[in-house]
Amino acid sequence: MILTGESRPVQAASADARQPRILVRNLTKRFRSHRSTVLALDNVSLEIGQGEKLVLLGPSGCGKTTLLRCVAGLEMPDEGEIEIDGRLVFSSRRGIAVRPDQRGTSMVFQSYALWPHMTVFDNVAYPLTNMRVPVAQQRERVTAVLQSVGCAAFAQRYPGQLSGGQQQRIALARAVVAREGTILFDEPLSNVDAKVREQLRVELVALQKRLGFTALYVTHDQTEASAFAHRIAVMDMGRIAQFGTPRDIYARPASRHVAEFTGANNELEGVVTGLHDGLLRIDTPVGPLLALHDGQAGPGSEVSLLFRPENLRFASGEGSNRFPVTIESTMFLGLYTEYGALAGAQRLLLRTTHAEEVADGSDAWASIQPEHLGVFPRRA
Amino acid sequence: MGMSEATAPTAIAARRRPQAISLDRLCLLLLAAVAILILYPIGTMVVHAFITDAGEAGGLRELLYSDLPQVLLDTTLVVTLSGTIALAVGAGLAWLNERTDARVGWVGDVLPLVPLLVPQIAAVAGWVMLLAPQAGLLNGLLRDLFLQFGMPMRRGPINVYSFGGLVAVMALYLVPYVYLTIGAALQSLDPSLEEASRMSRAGAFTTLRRVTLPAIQPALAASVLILIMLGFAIFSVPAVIGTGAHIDLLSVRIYRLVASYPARMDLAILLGIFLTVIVQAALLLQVRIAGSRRAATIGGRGLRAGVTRLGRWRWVARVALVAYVLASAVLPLLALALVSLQPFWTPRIAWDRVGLQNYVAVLVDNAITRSALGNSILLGLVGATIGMLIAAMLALAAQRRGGLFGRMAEGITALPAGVPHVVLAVGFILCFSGSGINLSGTLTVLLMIYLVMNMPQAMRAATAAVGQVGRELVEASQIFRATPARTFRRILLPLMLPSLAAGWVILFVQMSGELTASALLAGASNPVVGQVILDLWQNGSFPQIAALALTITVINAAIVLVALRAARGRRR
Repeated sequence: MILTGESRPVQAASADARQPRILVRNLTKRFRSHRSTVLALDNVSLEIGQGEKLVLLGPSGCGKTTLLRCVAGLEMPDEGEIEIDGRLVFSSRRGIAVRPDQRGTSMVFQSYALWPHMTVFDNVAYPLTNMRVPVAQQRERVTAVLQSVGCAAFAQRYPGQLSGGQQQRIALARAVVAREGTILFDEPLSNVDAKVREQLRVELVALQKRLGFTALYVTHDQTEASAFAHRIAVMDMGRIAQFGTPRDIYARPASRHVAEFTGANNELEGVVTGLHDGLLRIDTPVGPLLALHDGQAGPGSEVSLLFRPENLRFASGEGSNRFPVTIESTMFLGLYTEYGALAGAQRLLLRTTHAEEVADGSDAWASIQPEHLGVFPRRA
Repeated sequence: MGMSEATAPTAIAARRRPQAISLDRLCLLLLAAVAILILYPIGTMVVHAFITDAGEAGGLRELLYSDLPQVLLDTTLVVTLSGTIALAVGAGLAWLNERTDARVGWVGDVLPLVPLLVPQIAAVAGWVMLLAPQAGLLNGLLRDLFLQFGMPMRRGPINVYSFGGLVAVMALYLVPYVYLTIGAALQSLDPSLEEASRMSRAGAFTTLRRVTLPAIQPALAASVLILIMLGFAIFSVPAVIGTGAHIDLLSVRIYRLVASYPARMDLAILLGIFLTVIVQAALLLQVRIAGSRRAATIGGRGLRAGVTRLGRWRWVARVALVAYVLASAVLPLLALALVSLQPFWTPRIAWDRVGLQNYVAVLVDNAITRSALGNSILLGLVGATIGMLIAAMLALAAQRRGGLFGRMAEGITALPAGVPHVVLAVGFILCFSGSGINLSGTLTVLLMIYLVMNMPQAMRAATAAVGQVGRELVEASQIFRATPARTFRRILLPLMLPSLAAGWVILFVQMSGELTASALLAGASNPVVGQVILDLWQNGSFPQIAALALTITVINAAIVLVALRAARGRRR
């Protein structure tokens, strides 16, 4: 971060829309302590287009925040290259590392990172002051942006006097006031309570639509990711485990990790016994089940079947891909009802928007569609 | 400023290196200088004790045959008794003010500041002027009172120059340290723990005994160790009151061995090492407890503590709280003021002869006191500024670099906390007034020893200051286009300033009122306040002592209050 210098001055923000705004190539980052080395980023490559909202999703320690911080210039990668707006801001091979203040990105921090000794106005004006924008113009732009986040009334207050939601709005205002093309978001909604989070999420989407900035957004919350993203990169152990639209990732998780992380928390173990019409026949403790062929498992493979509670349904009676369950518990959760079901010794969750009249302790039939069963190699 | 592709890598590498290395090198140099200043005197002393003088065990034998056992016994007794009293009173006051409806808001603010607002030497002088057997002002009042009941007395009834007087005055000035430790523990203790106890049908007393006290046990243990540390090292109280009562404590005995003629450096060193071992052991244990306590800290801050109702005892408790502030700060200062305004120190105030003649003498006529005041304030200003600057740089570097440098910076700067001032002064005499470097009696050597003595406090304040600035606050500034210099000026510095200022104030007060090392190291040509007061004491010009002590107190108090005000004003 001590580095300075500008690399080749390529076209400015007027670059054509097909040109990616952020380009990450073969980025590797290791954290060394005196005992061990942790591979935080393992040869990661990524492209983010003009005006695109890309979300890095994953559990803590997966490398998503490290990737974001590398793009911001707050962390120095060991290998690889980063380009922002066609300008090379980091290259290990060529010894380039542009300082964070010269990268032309903005950021919204998890802890808001508002400076407690400055008023709200001064906080938001700070980037403009550093860019030497004339004072009169600063006043105009700060006032306008504060109005757009509904915080104009607090301009002369200090951050310590505001609620968490208000502070995060100010942090948002500070990030957009400079009209940088790219804004980085580091778990921006994880510190506010649930109700404010939903409001802010809606406002954020609207703000992005209005201003059209490019967003790289880090979160561990799958709902938040789906709500905001054009595309999601699910990360695991320093790599991108799956890259796709929210719908893709929901419907076809590419790995066991992605499936689990995005909410497929029912699991059955089984052995593949045959292949019929592109469907795998798998013997499980609840009986034989058919699943879509994933192209890898063959007869004899030991597999795990992962599926979502909302894809498990009540059925009227016996049939293909159906099995008997005993209802253990019922939880009414408003929008849907969740049943705890015992299939043999296996505990499964069943979630439905139509509350069924099923008493605890009664027996029922459950069904699952072949396309809803994720087939993955069994865990070692 | 575009850069051609071919030159980019080398140019950047070249630009990066010099800046980073020169800053690092500066900090390394600074740490080395501090390390030498701290380790050289302490090391020299250890070498002298165990190598140079090891051949002749005569020193040790001589000490044992002298009245040393008596000195050790007296010291242990005084420290134990005054420590026990201070612990009971300090913990009691902390509990009253943090957990009961007897709470008096301003007492909580003022009490921990007493040692800062009233220099110890001034407070001690004040109490002597209140309770000296014949001329003590309070004694005079008491005698008048007894006369009303037909009991005439010629002296007394209270004699501060006694074992009891020594214990009482020492306890009085140890209380704030206990209050601070226990008060902080009570503040961070989740009150819902106590509420849960009350909800489980335990009374106020049972709750205190079975929940509150066990929960703050680490703080109590830490207080005991702090009391041992301070009690053994304290110099001003035994130097003034102990001398009057013919009771020598260890710290004063070491001073006498050096100050007497011929000086017995060998014996002073042996005793000094002994004293240091006690104090250092207490310090190490205390740090360990404090370290483990951090992990066990319970509950969130900012919770409003549940209040225990004291009923009719509430007013008794309030009187106790206010009485402590009166006894530790108001009364002695009042005594100083009264004595300083009279031509002679008598228990009966001659209102017609009240005047400023002593201030004129001290501030104008007497060249020694005049230059002592000037020197002390100068040393305070320069020393506090240099000390905080060094500490701030080391703390920033330690945070940025971590690792070995961080641990070294932390460890070395903490070392002097476990070395009593009188012992450190002996080490400085060994190192800097011998045949090689002779700095004895100069302001330079005083500045050096003041810096060493106060480095632990300076470092603590600076580390707190650095820790106060969250990492993301600095990163946000970088992201929003501020250059490193600008980030330092607009974010780091303003956010660190309140803590640095607090540290500066502590250093200023400690240095301008310093007594122990000054008594041994200050020369006749460069007097300082603490040493001059001790000298005047032997010559018996008490009204001038009072005037000088009050002057330095007023200057200190003014600076403390202004600095605290400024620091508070900056907070949001």
